[in-house]
Amino acid sequence: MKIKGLILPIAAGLCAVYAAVSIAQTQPERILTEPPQPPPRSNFAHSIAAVGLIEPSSESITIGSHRSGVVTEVNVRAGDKVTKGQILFALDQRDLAASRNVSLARIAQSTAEIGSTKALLDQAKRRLDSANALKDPRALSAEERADRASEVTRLDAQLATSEAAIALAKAELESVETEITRSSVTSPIDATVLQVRLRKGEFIDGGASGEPRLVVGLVEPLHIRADIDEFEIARLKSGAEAIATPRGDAERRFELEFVRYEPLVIPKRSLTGDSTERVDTRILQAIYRVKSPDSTLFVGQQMDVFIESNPRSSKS
Amino acid sequence: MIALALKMLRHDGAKFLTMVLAVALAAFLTQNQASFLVAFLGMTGSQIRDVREANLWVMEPDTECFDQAKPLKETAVQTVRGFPGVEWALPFLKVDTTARTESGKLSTITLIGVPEQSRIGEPAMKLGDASGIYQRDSAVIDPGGMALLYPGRKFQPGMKIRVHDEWLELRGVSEASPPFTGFPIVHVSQATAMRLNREETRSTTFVVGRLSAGADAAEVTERIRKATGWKALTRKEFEATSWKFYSDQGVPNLFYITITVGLIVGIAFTGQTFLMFVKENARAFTTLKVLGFTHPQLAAMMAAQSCLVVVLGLSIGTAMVVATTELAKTLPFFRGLYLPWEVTAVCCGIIGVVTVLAAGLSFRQVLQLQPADVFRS
Amino acid sequence: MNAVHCHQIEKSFGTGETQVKVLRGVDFTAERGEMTFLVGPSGCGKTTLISIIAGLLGSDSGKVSLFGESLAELSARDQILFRRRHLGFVFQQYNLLPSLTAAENAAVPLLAAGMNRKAAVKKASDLLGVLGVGHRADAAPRLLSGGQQQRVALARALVHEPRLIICDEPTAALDHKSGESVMELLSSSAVHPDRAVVVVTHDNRVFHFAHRIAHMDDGIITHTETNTASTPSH
Repeated sequence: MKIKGLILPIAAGLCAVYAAVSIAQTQPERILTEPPQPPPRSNFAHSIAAVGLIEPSSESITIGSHRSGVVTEVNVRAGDKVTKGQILFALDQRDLAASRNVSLARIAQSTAEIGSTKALLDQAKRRLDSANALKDPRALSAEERADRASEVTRLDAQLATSEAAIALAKAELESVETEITRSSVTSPIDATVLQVRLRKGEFIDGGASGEPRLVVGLVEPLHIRADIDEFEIARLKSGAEAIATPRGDAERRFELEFVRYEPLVIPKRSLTGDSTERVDTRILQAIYRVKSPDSTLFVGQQMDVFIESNPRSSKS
Repeated sequence: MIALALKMLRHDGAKFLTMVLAVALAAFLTQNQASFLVAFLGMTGSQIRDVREANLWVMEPDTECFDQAKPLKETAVQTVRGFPGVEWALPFLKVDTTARTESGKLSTITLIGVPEQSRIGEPAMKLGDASGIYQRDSAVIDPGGMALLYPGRKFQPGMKIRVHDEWLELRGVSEASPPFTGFPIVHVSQATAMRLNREETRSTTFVVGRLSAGADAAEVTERIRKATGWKALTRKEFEATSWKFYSDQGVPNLFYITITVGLIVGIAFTGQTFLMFVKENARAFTTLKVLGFTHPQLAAMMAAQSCLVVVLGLSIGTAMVVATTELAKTLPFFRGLYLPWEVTAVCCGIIGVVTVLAAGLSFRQVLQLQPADVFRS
Repeated sequence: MNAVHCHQIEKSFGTGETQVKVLRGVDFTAERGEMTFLVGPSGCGKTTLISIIAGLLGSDSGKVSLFGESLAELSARDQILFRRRHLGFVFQQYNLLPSLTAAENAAVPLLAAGMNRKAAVKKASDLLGVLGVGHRADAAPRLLSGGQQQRVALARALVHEPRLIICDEPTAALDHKSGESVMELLSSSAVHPDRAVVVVTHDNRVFHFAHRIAHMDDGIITHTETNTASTPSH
């Protein structure tokens, strides 16, 4: 009786303990943890945040070719420093060399022709002079006299033709030689080769439609092109400090120095590289110089940029 | 005196047991249903809670829950970063798409892009390593997704799912909190998510961030709202908004009915039985009155009796709920189930108070007992 | 000062045509150190009278005083406290609580007064020993014989040393022998110089225990006789 009476309370007590322990252990935790890697943070009281791309101070120069053709030599590798006028790569010039030889042959041929024509002309002139020198008009028929005169005229014309042919051949030669010069592509400025996507033996298309195969740019100093949302323009202030942090390494900060704004506000270019992205934002681009870059910054790298700004007006 | 009261109660074993079990039943039904309700509605905030690092969520003004979000424009993250009181902000990309397995199983999935550079929202892992997220063409899947896409199969490295025209190799099973939608939660790197984001033209579903220590959350969110027109919510507020959004859809009504029925049945049973107990013990109570027990004393005795019933009943009932919850939790779809202590507190509180009050109605019987009747045989 | 003094008590039940006048001017006294029997046929108003004396019922008119104190003038709560402190009861059907042991039943008045449970049960057990049922102190009432149950009830009436004990037909449910022994115990342990005992009974086999017998009929005390045969214990 006594024990029986205690079964229920004891069972209930065990139940209570079991329930309490289980409930205590299964409550979901709403904790706030630190990110595994630190995200970029501003160090200004008021700031405008932007996304920037590192670019050469000369901007990236995509080297093109006037000519299409097969590459016969590539003289630089990515990272090389080049001087203005240094040959970067050359295209196959054999066809040009042949054309040049043809032109030279033409010149030689025309020169030879001029020589023989001149000799014939001298002879014809002499015969005309001798005919004219005869006192007795009956010594030579009138027809013979006329023939001799027209022979001189004809040879004069032939001489002029040959001289024109020489001029033409020379012009052709000059043109071919220009093409030959153009077959060796040179650097427009003192710069660093940023990208070479060109190998010996490859064919490249010349002209505007051609794919960029070689990029150079002046990397000292490095610039950052920061995209600022048009809605933030009002908050920009002159002389503002700015910093940039590399993606994935937000602890490192690079101080920036303002260079200029691009005067044209443009639709935002997708940095994601997704071609389906619909543009619905316009941006102002600001150019900054990286004050003390180190070897870890590369052209094309994305940076999170924070620009010191005016406080947001409390109305709006 | 109290001991005497409890002895009186326990002497009538059948009624005592009936009352205890009725209270237990009420406690079980109400807590079981309430915990299901809370757990289900709580799932509307699963993916919000899973971004453990963030306590600030910014979204388009009409976004009301995690699942139905219209993405923000690309510069939104920069704009949010520019607000004082925002420690940091990052884009959060969620893609609703479909996936199919090698064997042809098809399901809508929620693809979450974990930002590579800060790895916020990276899930805890059940199997495999979270670094698998960042490998190319790789993903990790949640247990619910495993159950849905590979029913009855255990995770093996090398399993693949196809999203659009890309195969993603599954590198592990995450412990992502179960989503309200029930769809698989697939974590990939943000780059992969962007690549697979064919449904939306924008790739910032939310901006998530952290409020600076010491910043006034209400002030910061209000400032963002005013300046941008977006909705800026703390994590708690966003959870509450999602909760409200789904509960307004009528989901909980069925639960409310069951909870009410449970309450009524349990309390009616207990109250009725207690009344019978008092009536049957009328002679004893009359005798006690004659022997000098005051009404407050008798009330205390009956309160003790009803409290004993309540305490035992609630203990047993709650243990039953806990046991069923733990059992149900082993199923992948119910893995988010738990018994919130608030549910236990509120349910037990209501049942306790109402049962004691119901017992109090029986006390009127005691009040009406005529002491002089003691001499009637 | 009389232990119990009733003067011209009147009491009716019901109203109008169904009104029944149960007591029609009862004068009744009981003295300390005495056992006063109240006898009379069924329905003569004995139970109503002791209910009024015990303060369980109010009277329509007349005056009741217990040890010089008028119960009617006390608040409801003070009436209960007075009853708890000064009155003991023995009922025809024992009225023991079935859920409690004999000792616990006997200890109820002490528990009502707020005494610590252990001490109360101990005191009650001791008293049960005096009354000859000490060996059954831990037994449930249903396991006891009628005589034993009434002894437990007697212990309950005595345990808090009241000044007035009211017994309602204490022997009616018992056989002659048990009744006799209960009455013997009653007269030996309850009668005390500072205590009055009122026994309602129509069991004439036990009349010889009375010091005084008040005869009641039809709502009045017809006559009172002093029992010279009985020997008061003091």
